[in-house]
Amino acid sequence: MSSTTTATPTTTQPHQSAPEENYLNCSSGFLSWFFTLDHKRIGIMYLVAIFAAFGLGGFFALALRTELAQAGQDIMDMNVYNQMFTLHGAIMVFLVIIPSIPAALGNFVLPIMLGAKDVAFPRLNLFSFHLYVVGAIFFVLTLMGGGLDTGWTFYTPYSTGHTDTMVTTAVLGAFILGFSSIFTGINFMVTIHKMRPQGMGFFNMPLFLWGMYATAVIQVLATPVLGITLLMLAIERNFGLGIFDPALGGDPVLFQHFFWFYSHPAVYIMILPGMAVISEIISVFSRKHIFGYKFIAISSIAIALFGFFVWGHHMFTSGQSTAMSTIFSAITFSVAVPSAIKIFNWMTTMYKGEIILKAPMVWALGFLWLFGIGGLTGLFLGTMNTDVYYHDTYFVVAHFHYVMVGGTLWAFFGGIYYWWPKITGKMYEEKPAIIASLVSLVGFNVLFFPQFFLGNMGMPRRYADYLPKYEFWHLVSTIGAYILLAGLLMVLWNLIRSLTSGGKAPQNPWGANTLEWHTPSPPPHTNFEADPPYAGDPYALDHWAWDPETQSYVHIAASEQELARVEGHDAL
Amino acid sequence: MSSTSTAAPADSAEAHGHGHDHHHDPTLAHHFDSHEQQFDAGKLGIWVFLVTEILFFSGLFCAYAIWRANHPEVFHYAHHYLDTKWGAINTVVLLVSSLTAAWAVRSAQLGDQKGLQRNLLITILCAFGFMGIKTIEYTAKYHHGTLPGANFHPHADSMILIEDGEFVGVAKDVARQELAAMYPDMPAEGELTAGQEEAVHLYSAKLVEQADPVPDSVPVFFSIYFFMTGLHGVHVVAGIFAIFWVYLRARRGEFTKKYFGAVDYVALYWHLVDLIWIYLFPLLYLIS
Amino acid sequence: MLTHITAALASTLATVQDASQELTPGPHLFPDQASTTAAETDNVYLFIFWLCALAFVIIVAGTGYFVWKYRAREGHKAEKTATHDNVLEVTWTVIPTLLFGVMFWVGMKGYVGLKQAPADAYPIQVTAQKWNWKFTYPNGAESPELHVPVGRPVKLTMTSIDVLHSLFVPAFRVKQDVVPGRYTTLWFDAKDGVLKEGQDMVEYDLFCTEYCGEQHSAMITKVFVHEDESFAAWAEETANFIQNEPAYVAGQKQFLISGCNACHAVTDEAGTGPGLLQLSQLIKGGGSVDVTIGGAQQSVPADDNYLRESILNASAAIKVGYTNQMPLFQGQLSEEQLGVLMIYIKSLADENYRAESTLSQLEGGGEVEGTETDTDQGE
Repeated sequence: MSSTTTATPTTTQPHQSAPEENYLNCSSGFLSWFFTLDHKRIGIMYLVAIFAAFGLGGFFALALRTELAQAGQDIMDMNVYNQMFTLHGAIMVFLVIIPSIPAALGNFVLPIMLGAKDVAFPRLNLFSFHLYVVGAIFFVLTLMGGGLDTGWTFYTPYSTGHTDTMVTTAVLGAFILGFSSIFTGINFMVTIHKMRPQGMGFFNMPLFLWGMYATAVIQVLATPVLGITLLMLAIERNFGLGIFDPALGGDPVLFQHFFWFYSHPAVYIMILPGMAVISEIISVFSRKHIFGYKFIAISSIAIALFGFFVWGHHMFTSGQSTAMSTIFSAITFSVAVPSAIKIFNWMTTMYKGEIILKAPMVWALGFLWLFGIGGLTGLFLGTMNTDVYYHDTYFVVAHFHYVMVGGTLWAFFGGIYYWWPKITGKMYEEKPAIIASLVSLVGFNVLFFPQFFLGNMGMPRRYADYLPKYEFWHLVSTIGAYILLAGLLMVLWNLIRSLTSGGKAPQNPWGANTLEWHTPSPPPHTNFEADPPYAGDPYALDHWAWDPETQSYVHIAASEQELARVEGHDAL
Repeated sequence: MSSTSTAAPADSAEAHGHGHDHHHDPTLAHHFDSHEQQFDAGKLGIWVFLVTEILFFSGLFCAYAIWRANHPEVFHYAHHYLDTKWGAINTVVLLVSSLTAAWAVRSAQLGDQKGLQRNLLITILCAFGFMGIKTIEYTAKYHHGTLPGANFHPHADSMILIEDGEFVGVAKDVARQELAAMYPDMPAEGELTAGQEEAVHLYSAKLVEQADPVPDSVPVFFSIYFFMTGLHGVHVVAGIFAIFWVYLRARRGEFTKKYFGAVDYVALYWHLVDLIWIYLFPLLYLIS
Repeated sequence: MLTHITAALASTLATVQDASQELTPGPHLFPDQASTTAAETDNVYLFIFWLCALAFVIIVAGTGYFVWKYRAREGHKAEKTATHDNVLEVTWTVIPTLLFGVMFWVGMKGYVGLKQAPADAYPIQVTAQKWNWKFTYPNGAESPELHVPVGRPVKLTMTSIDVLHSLFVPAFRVKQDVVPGRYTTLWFDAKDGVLKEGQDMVEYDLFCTEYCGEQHSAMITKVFVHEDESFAAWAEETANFIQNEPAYVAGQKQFLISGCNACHAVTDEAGTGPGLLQLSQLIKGGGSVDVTIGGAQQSVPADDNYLRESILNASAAIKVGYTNQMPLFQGQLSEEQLGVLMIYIKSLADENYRAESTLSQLEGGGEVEGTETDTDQGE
């Protein structure tokens, strides 16, 4: 980046150390990565691992959709199908969506956003990553050793006594991954509590950190319960514990209570980071201060808290009492309210802004559409009598894919594109990136919207085959799957190309004001060359001005800001 | 520039191309600004970890509560198989170890290296004592055949007798008492001949048949017992490793009045392990 | 006056509901409303649907409008607006909360109605297993499909003998998990209007909708709604089919009722269990079967004893190449049911067993086994 003056007077450029030493080139070799304590490298390793797991889980999905394009067993028999949908779910939930944003993006961005040199416990962070790898290995062993056909939900008594598949291996893998998640949560909580810079109280933090914090709270409180549940399952299966087995006086529905006590908050582990990313992107690409900061921040905590009390809405038809179902339904609506609040605040942020349609924003707008549908369709499922109809049908499948893929994955890609210049020091090509996002959007809707129709028609889920009347919408859905595949391959290609032939990324291509944009792209090993600047308001975007010559935003000195203020804009 | 810095960042002085001159205190990690921040972070970290441990055990306590509410007779019957004496001794052992753990922290705060090492060592010894007693209890269960779940095959001798809902005693003991009352040459206490042993054995079986039927689902009590105490035992063993590691570091003189976080955190973990046992003991052993 | 207003409101509401059902793409795909509670479920659906459609339009159209109107272009800069507005926040918190409250309320009412069976409901027992349903009627009749009388409440009391299943009839809008070790219930009333002029029976799909293993997606059967006389006749006939039908025909029915067909084909085709044609041929020709008994392989004669034991307690001797998955039928089958099953299986390869005699005629008149049958038979 040049330090010569540009069109705007009195701009300051950060000093560029020469040679350009940064966290990527400061050391090399496999060991310097696999045993690094640098949160940025750990984030990248997670990113690569998660992409690989996504590819594997996606392969299973494509196989499923290909089989389901037509009625009858076409390319696989029922047993293989049952394994495919189980492994698709388990891999996507445990190896992709739950870690995704916190592990890959959070690890990289969180300390820098705090002006810190690393997370509170760097060795614990590395250990989290190693646990992820071990957990992934257990899943590979599951695959190679006979597969898994219980559904990712492992319901008893099928999983404890009616299948010969590698249940114990898979469950141990998930157990280990749970610890990876817990340790990340502990790390983030402590870092945010104890390593904020001077002047950054909780209500001066960027909203991304609020999202990470709320997620960490859930990770810490909910995941241990999954751990003990899976342990109970493994012991019941191998040693006849008897808690879930009716023959020994146990209750199979008890498993569902334990399982969903974690797995419902888990879906908020999945979506809160996504919402956190969206808050950043919408503000920056509307060139406006975020609207309703306090409400968005508190809504994250509200979602995290209320999310612990609604698990029974997965069990309205399980045989649980009407009274319990009523309570769970009522509280479920309480979680819908903070989500709605966020959407309205984001839209108001865009009002009278300057909307810049670059790739991160395109993904974010896609998020609004897709999470909108996903969240709204949740209302049918939280309502008790419509849920009786929709439970265990394709309507549910469509709903959760809209929120987990349309929501979390879309936000994940938005975040990847947003922080890509910072992480890699390269710029991706804008037009192909936008096309890739739009192709994915079309593909996703063609793939999943018809599944609402299938649900309306009464088609149950986890069906290897179906009655002929469902075939039309299944065929359409499969076509959508291939379109989505094309879009995602375009995304991958676009990102990889940027690494080989992308332009050099400026320090602040987007004109954001959070601290990571106050350091070079990519950052040095210790994140900041000198002490990080005073954090200030993370959404004071008018501290940056567009410089056409360098095609980037440059920091305006205080006097410039004062000038802008006096010239008639509203107070900062 | 190395990115694999370890706990003692002595090499980090040249590792950071800051351009500053830092006084790198080997007991202050490079990403912390002060000892206070480092200690506070560690303290919060261990507390959050302990919360996760409580939640981890809570699943089992929950399963216990549900089971006991639905099958109270099973618990009233089956808890007699547990030896309250050993349970009580173990409780005392752990309480003592908690005391020495806290004392170790105090020693570290005062810079008393000898006291620190001594207290850590005693804590470890108590932990071994606890595991020893657990071993005695578990092997006794194995010999009596009262193992969890599908492996529950109690020997007639060891079965608990209930008559009209009242606890009578262990079959073998009751058999012996009654036989001694009926046959004057059968001693009430002390050694027995092979023939007398056989008689006791047969009579026990008869008593078991005559007594109230054993409640269904008794195996599940033992499943819960072994799972909860077993998981707790795993945590005790993990604690032994952790405290021993801290002990070794203390011997190497790594702790000062300003830097003793590891001692504090490990002691906190140990207090939780103790606390969990304080709950387990009455819930499993003292049912009445 | 008040009654006039409420009547007018009710009819307006009904018109609106009808119109919206016509207009809404989703509900066209719903199956017919075949139960008395289906309409309520659908109306709640419509209420939520239109609210969601409105919200979605606001979000997408609103966002789209902002993207277009405030798009970055020459001369256009962002305007500094307020960064928070408590009144706005409260408004868009309170309104959704109120709407959600209504949603919750109508949903709860509907659900409570679905849970409380009327006192005079016709009781049917349901037994679910991997991978078929067995329905048992008050007169002892059993069938693999569900038959119900029209226009009166029916209450299903259900249990599973193995894993979780779930009974779902989309046309009735009802669903309930079937749990091993306990009973769950479900009720519905197939409303009078479903039978058209001249129709005495109509059928609907019944699905298992809780994943239960390999053939979960094949655990589908039908609900037959009968007009009263037709139902009574069916129940009578079904209760006595073993007495009335030729033994091998009764055996085939029992084969379906007991769910044998979920795992055993009646051809050579191997499934979860062996195809039974081969066994039938071995019995006819006096051959033997390779089985695993107590871990060791043995060859046993394919005779009546083997057939009987294989049905009642298959785990004692599993055919080589198969795993122990067959449920215990000891105590589940009467001697008559067992008798007709055996005849049916033997009839697969042996024409002599396809006599027109009923089981009691065969047993009373002659031998159950052997190749001789009554002289007066047809095919």
